Formats: sequence, structure tokens, C-alpha cells
Amino acid sequence: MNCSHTRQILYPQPDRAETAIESVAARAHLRQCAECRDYFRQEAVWSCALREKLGREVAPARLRDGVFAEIQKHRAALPLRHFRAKRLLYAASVLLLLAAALVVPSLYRLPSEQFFQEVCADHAKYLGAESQLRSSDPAQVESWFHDKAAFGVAAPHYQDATLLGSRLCLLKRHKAALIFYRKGGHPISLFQMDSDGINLSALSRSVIDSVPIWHKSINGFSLVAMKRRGVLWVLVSDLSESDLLPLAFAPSHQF
Amino acid sequence: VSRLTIEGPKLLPVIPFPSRSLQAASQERIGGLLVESLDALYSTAQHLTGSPEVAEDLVQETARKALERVASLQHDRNLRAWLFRILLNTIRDLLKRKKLWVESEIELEPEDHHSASRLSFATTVDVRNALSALPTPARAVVLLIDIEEFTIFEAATILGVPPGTISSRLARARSRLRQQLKGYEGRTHGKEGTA
Repeated sequence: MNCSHTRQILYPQPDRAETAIESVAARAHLRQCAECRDYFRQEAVWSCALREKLGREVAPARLRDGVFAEIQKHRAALPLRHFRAKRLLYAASVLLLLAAALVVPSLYRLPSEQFFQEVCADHAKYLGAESQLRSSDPAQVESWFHDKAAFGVAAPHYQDATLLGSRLCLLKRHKAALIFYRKGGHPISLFQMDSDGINLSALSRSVIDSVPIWHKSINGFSLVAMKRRGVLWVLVSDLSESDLLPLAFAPSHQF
Repeated sequence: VSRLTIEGPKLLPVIPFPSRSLQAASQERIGGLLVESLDALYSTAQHLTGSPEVAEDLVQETARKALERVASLQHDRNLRAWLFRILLNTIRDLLKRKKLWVESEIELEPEDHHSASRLSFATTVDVRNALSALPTPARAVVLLIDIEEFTIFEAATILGVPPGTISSRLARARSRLRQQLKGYEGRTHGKEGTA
């Protein structure tokens, strides 16, 4: 290491140089080189002489008073500022919670609402019981679905209701069995589908005789749903919910 | 009808908020340091702006900013360097607006020798004049390192430039000061000689 490099590394004073620029070689050179030691000594003397010569200006009394006043002002305002900031933080947290409470459930419910609206739309679409199989024989309807649905389809017998036929339909990518009935001139659709992945959050849930029932009125139609062995049964009709509920509890629904 | 139970979710992470006592302690420290460093801050501001009135305003503003930033202060910080950083940023903003802070480098002139004796012959006014003739960024480095005794690294942090730039600026500024004060040595010697 030469003098120039040593001076560059250790500038302005070797004792003020920090570890990042310290170099063992530069220090070793400094120990051996009287010229470099003198260079750094002269730099230190220069720095000290400059400091002595320039001295420091004394801050005017007005500035001193102004800074004292500023310190006092902040000292006095601290509890209030702290309290305000804390209150704001809590208010923001509460607002965030409220927003989350409002938004999150509706985001979760939205697909469910859309699904059951489509169920009602399908009921409306096939009001004339446009069946793929026209039959009033439950056994024939059930066997017709045998090779068409991945789950066991049941065509229950409802008192005072006539079985008209059945068809397959697709509800938001869920394959469903649709069975048509008519009761006192009112068409009733019974949808059956795999309950896996179906979000029921758009419906009201009630428990009757320890059996959970989901129900709602959508677009003028009553909808009653229940789960049976992994299959979701949905009854849709223009009859009232109270007229549909007995069907859901018909003996033929019990397995 | 079934009962709907909503479990209380863990919604928000704990947001760190400085306690009142912590803030008060920091404020006391900064207040004390401001009082202690007032002359140094004012002197630096005056050397850089050349105006006592402007220096006064700048230091007052620095005090206000420092006290307002108590909440965001890290306790392991070098508070004196932090205070000077606020001052230098305030000065730089003002001088840049007036186009008086230009990041230019002094050309390094060859020196015959560097003698501190030149300073002892020059008057304080001469030294001040020589200092004020330096470009503002170089003057800031001299003031921080030679007058306020900050290290190269502290000065680099205060001015927001690499340590290498600080070293280089200091060497060039000192060299320029020596060149400017060269005449005083001979003249004073001459006067002394004739007396």
C-alpha cells in the first residue's frame, strides 16, 4: 500500500475512520510511514485550528425563547395529541370492522342468491312441466334417472299432488334432477342435486323437529330446501311456504 | 329455530402505538438536545445561508419539525445527527429553491504543503470569507466535520450522500481554503518582519 492509497482510505483522520473503511494494510503503512503520519497530524491540526478560528455563533435570545416556547407547546400538547391519535385509531378500527361486517357476508351470500334465483327461474321456465319423461309412476321416474344422475333420485308421493314427469337440468354447473308435480292447479318443482359445494347462505334456516330446513320467497315463488343423505332437495312453487312445508315433511321424504 | 353463533374473528393485528411515557421521554430528550445544540445549529445555518435572520427562521423550523417527529423517532438513533439532518434538509430545500445549492465539485489544486499556521495568521473574518466562498455543499461538509466534529459516516447520513463523496468534498474544500488563505501567511509575516 502506498501513501496516496493510505491517505484516501483513512482520510480525514485515522482515529475517526470507522470499521467500514478501516484497512489493516493502510494502518500498517501508517505505522511505518512518517510522512503519512505527519500528513494526518497536519490535517488534525488544521481541523482544530479552523474550529478555533471560526468558533460558534451564539444563538440570539429571541431564537432561544422561540425554541423554548416550541418545546413547551409540544410538551403541553402531547397528552391531547396522543389521545386524539388513539381515538382516531380506534374509530378507524371500528369503521373497518363495520365495513367488513357489512361487505364480507354480502360477498359470501351473493353466489348463493344467484344460484337460488336460477332455481326459481328454472321452475318458471318449466311451468308447463315440459318433461323429458312423462310419467306418473314414481318407480319409472326413479329408474329413468338411474344412469343419468350420480346420486340416487327419489320421486316421493305427495298427498293431493300429481306426479307429471321429470327432466335433467343444469343449475350453475350443478347437475340436477327436476321432478314435476301439480297440486290443486299449482305447479310444484322438486329439484334434487348433490349438496356438495352448494352455498345456502341466501336462505333462512329453521329447525323443525330437529330437522334443518332452509326457506325463502324469491321472485314471487316459495322455496323450501332440505338435505337428505348428501342430496339437496328443493321444492319450488307459487304456493306459500306454509303450504310447501308439509310436503317437505311428507312421510315419503323420510328414509 | 336454530341459534346462529358468530365467532369473534381475530380481525386486526396489533398496531404499534408509542405510549405516552415513551413519547414524553423522547420529547424531553429532543427538547434538551435542542437547547444544548442551539448555538451549533444556528451557527451552521448562518454559515450556510449567510443571513442571521434566515438562520434564525431555519433553526426555529428545525425545532418544530424535530418536536413533531417525536412519535416516529427510533430510540437507538444518533439524535444529534438526526437533528442536523433535519436542519440541513431544511436549509437545502430553501437554497435549492433559490438555486443557491448546486451539487458541484471543487477542482483539486496541487498543494505545496498544508500548514495550519496559515489559519493563525488570518483573521476570523478572513477565514469566514474564505469559507463562504466555497460552494454550499462543500461548506456544509467542512462545517459538519471540522466544526461540529461529526464523522465521515455521520456527515454522509446527514447530507444523504455516500461517505466517499464526503471524504472527497472535504479534501477539496480544505485544499481550496488553504489556497485562499495562502496570501495571509506571507503578508502577515511581512508585516511582522517590518515591524
